[in-house]
Amino acid sequence: MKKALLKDSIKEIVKTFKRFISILLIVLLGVGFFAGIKAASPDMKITLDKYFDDKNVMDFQVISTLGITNEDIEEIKNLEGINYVEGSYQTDAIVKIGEEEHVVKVETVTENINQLEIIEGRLPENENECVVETNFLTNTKHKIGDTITVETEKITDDEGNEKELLHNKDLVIVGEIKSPLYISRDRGSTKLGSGMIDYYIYISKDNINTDIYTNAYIIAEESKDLKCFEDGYEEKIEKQIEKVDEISDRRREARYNELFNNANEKLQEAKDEFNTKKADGEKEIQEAEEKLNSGKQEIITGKNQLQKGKEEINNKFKEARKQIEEARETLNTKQKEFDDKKKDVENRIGEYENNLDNLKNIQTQYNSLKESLNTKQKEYNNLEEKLKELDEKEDQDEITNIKNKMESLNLEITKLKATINVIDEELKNQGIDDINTSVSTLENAINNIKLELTNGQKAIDDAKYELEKQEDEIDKQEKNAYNELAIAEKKIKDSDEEIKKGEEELNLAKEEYNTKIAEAESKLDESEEEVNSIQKPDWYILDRNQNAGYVSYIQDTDRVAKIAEVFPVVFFIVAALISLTSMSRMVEEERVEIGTLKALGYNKLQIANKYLIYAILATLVGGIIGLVIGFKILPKIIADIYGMMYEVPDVVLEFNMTYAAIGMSAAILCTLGATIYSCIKELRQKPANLMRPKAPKPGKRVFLEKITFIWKRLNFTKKVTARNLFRYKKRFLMTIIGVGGCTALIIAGFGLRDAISSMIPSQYGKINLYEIAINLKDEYKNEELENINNNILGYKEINNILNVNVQSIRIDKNDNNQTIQLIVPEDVNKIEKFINLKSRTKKDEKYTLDNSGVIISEKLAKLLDIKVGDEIKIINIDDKEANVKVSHITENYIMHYIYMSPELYNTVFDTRIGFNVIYANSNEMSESEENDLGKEILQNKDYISGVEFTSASKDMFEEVMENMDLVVWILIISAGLLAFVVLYNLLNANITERIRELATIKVLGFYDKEVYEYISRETIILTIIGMLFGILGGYFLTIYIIKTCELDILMFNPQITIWSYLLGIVITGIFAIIVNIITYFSLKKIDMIESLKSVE
Amino acid sequence: MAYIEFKDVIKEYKMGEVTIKALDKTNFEIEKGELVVIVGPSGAGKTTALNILGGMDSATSGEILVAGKNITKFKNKQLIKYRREDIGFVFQFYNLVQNLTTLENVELATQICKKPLNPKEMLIKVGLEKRIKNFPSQLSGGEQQRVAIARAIAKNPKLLLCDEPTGALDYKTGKQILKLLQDTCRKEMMTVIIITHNAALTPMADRVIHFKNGTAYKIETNQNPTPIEEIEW
Repeated sequence: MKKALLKDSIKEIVKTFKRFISILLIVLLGVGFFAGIKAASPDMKITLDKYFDDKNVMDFQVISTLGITNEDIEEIKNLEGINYVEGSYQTDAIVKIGEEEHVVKVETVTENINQLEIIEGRLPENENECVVETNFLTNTKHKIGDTITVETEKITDDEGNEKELLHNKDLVIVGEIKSPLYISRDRGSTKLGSGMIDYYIYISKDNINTDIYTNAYIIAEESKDLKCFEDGYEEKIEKQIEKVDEISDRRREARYNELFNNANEKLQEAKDEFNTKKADGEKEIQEAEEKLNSGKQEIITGKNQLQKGKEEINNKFKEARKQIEEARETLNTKQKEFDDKKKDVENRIGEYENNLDNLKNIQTQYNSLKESLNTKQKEYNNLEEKLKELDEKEDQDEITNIKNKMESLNLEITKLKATINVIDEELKNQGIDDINTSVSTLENAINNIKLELTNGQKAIDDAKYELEKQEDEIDKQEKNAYNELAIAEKKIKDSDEEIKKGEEELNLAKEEYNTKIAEAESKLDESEEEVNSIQKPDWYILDRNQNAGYVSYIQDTDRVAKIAEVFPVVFFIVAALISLTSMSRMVEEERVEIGTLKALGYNKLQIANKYLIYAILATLVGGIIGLVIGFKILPKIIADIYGMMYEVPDVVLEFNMTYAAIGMSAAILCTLGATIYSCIKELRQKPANLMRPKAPKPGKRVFLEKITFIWKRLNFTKKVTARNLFRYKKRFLMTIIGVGGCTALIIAGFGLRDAISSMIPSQYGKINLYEIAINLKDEYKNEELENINNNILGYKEINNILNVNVQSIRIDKNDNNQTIQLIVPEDVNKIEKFINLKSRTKKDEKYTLDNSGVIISEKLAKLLDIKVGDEIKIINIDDKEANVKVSHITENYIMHYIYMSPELYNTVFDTRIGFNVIYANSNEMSESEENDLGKEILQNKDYISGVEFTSASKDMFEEVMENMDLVVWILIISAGLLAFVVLYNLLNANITERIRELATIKVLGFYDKEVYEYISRETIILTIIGMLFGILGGYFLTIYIIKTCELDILMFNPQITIWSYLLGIVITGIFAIIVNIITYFSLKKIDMIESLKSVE
Repeated sequence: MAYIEFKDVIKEYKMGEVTIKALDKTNFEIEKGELVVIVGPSGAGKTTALNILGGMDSATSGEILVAGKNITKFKNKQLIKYRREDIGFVFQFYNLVQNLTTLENVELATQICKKPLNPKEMLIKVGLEKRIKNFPSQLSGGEQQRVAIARAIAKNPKLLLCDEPTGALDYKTGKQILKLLQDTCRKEMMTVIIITHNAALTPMADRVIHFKNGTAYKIETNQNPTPIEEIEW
């Protein structure tokens, strides 16, 4: 029985294949779109979850204002429910490439958490290596193997010493990586450079010159088993965060104590050192003073002694001289006496000398005689000798000669002897025995006397000499003594001077000492204050919801899900309507069969089963094909579109049972509902009634006929059309919804494109009027700024400039994490040439900046629900807070801005603002000219850190926008499918349902064209009405899609151009024309005879 | 030469592998202004012959001459033109357009003709003066058929072809309809061909064509046709 029914259904399907297909198709579209778009969001989330699990991305992290110690990490690790903890060091740094400075986020490579994806190369192994993200390489034209220099700020270690953070600043790029922590393009903000981080790089832990970490990344136990966007996960992580929060007080205290004690110890040491040094100094001064005093005393005694010594010496030498004088007188007397005596003696010596002279004469004669005698005697002796020798030789002649000589000699000798005797005799008479002795005696006597004399004189002379010597000695001594005195005196004088000098020096030293002490004391006070000002660190425990990329990704996927809620509704409604028309026609057509079955005793359900099975089959087959296609294709396309904005792996496509079930249920509800509705109407009738041909639907007058003045003007065919239009309400509704939906989708597609593409020219052509933004190294004011300005104005391409202060700020409202740029122009009157502050809706309303409040950008106002006149609390880059009033809301499409006058800024933040960016208007330039100018400006490296051309931002955004074309295509294709299904169904309905009517007019002789017009006039009017609704629907759909899918930092321009409307109409029209062409040929084929055969 | 001539007309239908001959060498002639009744059992080929004559179907072979024109040679467009200008059809089930009023149903036909008769007058003639603004569903069967006849006649066709015009009607109403057709033929000098399976009606015709097995096997002519009022069945 059941088999029979199923068979019957299948036969029916074959018989009415077109009808079956149209139900199947619309279900396919509805379910496919619903499930596909709906699944895109969870698929993308699952992809992210899996990616995060694969890379061991942290569940949450702890950031401490005073750093995280190894003990902190240990303690967290020991908490229950914590799977893994790892510390990491993060800092912002500047990398200079050419003339340009790039701000990078530097982080240490973590081992088992937040693992990096290596695209090329390897991870850093040594302290001089780093890895960088892909953008860094492409934008800076660096490659692996190149070296970059990273400039970080100095750090203060726990002992309070300043030092370099990195051991090594020159880093070799060894790899290209992707970090799961940065899935969006947002790299966060910084206090360096332009305020925005350009790139991230990772370095080895070894390169960090400290044991303290900035972050502790934490993975909770079993967190990977949960999907990170589900409530269970959040709950679990929240619990873990609470646990960490519980120990945070203690850990913070510990860290505080550690740092405080360190500092305090150091302070105490310094204090002790100060005190000892102070005491030492004082002692030294005292000693010096004492020394000076004793020196003074010594000088006084010295002076006294000197006086005494002088007197003594004077006395001593007076006495000595007196004695010498006395001695000299005595000596003089002695001389006189001696001189007298000498005269006497000299007389006597004269006598003696006379005697002596006589005697000496005699003596001389005597002696010469004696000598001659001796000589002769000797000669004689010699001859005698000779003679003796000659005897032996017997030389007679010789002998004789010698004997003769001897004879003569002998004679002479005798004579001489005789004379000598005579003299001797005489001398004897005179009493002299030996003349020689007498002479010598006499001589001796004289000599003795003379000697005595000389001796006497000599003694006197000696005495005199002695005396003189003594006198000299005394003189010498006196001189020496006086010299010594003089020296001593000088010495005293010198010491005196020295002491005076010493005194002066001492005074100076004292002064110095005092100032130094004061200085040291104030320094100590300062350090003490510093020590006391050490605050307990704050712990920020941040989960993934504080990761900008993660949050925006999740938000974006939610947006997609929201679109899935409206978008397929059109398809479902149309599915219901198509089912309704198809099924009721089918039931009507088979009323006789139904009647027969009923008459045979089948109950309602059994009869209805056939139609229900038919509907279910169409729905199931369509739905399943739709699910397969939808799940396979749509999430991929959507994920690919988002993939251009996020760096996540290829989407994981899952068969999402929930959405499959919801989509299928909705489709079945629509088709079955429609079928049951159609069946019930017929089944209620009596079998007999059913067996009879159905009374044709009675003709009715339409309300238009009551408006006679219009009705009258319509010609016959138009009247027919008008009446027919209102006759088939289901068809009317279906067509309007279908065609309207199609038009609306196409308009939405193009409208979305309009909204996005007009954003760029609006932002960069009508709002941001400057061509160049020149980033300065620092904030400058006054002359410095003037110099820079003059320099910049020196470039001939630059016409006009405006100094501004640009900084990233936050608004303390609604827990928002929007990145907002505060722009403070130096001259509020000049800003209109650089930034157009105006109303978006009121064409001519321009705003000026004044001191009464700030102007904020439109999207920001919308996001944070801020209205003109509201007061907002802004937090500037130095974490200072201020309340300001919002005076206007300005048109803006890309990013968030707050504009403020410098006076207001100075007032609310109590400061004097400097300027860090120069906006410049330039001549029109080609890209290469821009590059050249950029390079030239960057030459001024002393004060310029970067040059940005708005054309570059324009290009970048344009690229992103190109991707949106894909969305437009999806919309157009789906719209086309919708229009096609609906119009084709309409055609089908028109032909089968009105076949007798058509055959009749054919028989009447209507030409093919006329037959076609008879039908198409209705279709065309319905299509036009549908289009009109579609225009309206398209407008609202565009607004809806824009609202749900625009990014936070963007405001799409919700102005749909006339072209989009036209395109929506034209494309829908093309679909309608295609269907109409098919209609034409279908009508031509109608067999009049078959159609007009009796009803049975 | 007769006004209408069927010469060896064959009509074959291919039902899969089987070929059915609906008309098998049918030959007959009809003169202008005649009231013709075609009789025969079901499946004898009456309707097929009428459909081919009316330009709704084409013959497989043979010739059909209408006013000297061979309509079997007509192209589709010529056929439509032929239907439009020369033919008026009346069906068993009226085939009125439900969504049009009585008048409009007639106008539907007249608006495409060159020399139509006045639709209103036509309706008055068929006695539906008071029903002009009604929709078909508000009319009785006889009334509906009268509308159908009015629609057919209003075109001012050369031929009025009626396929079982009284088949769905009771005796009295049927008689009225037949009277209308007979009157039309006589007054308007229109050639009227009526198909019926009721042989009792034959006396009313100028010419009776008997069909059997796809051929007109007997053609009779009545020199003095009986007015319909006098025929009883």
